[in-house]
Amino acid sequence: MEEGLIKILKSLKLIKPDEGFVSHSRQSIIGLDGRPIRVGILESLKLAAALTLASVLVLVFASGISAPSVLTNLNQKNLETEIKNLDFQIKLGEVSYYIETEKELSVQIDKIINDLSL
Amino acid sequence: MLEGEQNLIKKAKAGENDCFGQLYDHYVSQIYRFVLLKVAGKAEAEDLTHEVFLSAWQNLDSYNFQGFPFSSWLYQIARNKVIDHYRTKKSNISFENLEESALKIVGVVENDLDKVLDVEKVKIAITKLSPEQQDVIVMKFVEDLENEEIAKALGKTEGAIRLLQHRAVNNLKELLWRKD
Repeated sequence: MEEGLIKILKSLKLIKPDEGFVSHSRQSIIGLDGRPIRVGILESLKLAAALTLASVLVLVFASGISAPSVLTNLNQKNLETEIKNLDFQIKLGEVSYYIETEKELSVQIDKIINDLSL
Repeated sequence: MLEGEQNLIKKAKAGENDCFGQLYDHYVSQIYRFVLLKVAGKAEAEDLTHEVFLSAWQNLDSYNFQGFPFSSWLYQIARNKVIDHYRTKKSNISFENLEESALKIVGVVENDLDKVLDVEKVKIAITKLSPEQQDVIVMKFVEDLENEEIAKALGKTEGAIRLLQHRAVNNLKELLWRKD
């Protein structure tokens, strides 16, 4: 019985890992370009995720800074002044628009009256 | 031991990764068998084997030649990886749970079903031994290692290894007879 057991145990030496696994494992440890990869696969994935998140945050901050905004100064008084100026500028813009519009309307009304009188 | 092994290790430590690749090629089958016969799952064995060599590569600077093959150090790493594996995951090993791919052995006469079944029974029985007995069975009878190297890998005396070997074989026979 023991002899048969030993024989079977020795036959287990025929077990080999899959060639595909060996190739992939070897390359991922040693590196395809010949340079050693000292970081494990899991660690490299974590690093990639962290870098991606950092890039996203940088983009968010950058887009926040570059977005068109009149209120760029965080000083309280300057902010109030800017807001007041903003309103004033908007009102002036509206007034000039109305003035121009009224002029055009006057011209059109005169034209119609002339046409009707004819 | 791989010829010129210590020179390869020295160069690998210096950054010549191709030298570590040669070590990998020489020992991967050995370590894979060792792990497979302890965890009895092909996917798990592949993962753990990969972790063993990755760990060896990353910690190569801590390896010092002490008169034994590089495999002794690899076996130590492999043993620890398997222990950690069982700490995090308890696997229910039974004949039905074994993956079919894990049961194939290159070179076994596939038509001789009785022989194949005997091999599978032995593999199952090995997983039921204590971790140290598993180690001795695999290293002594599967890999044909000398007691001196086994002792170094397991951190024991040669006398302790012989005793372990004797008990392991007896337990294995008992497990196999019990199944019969």
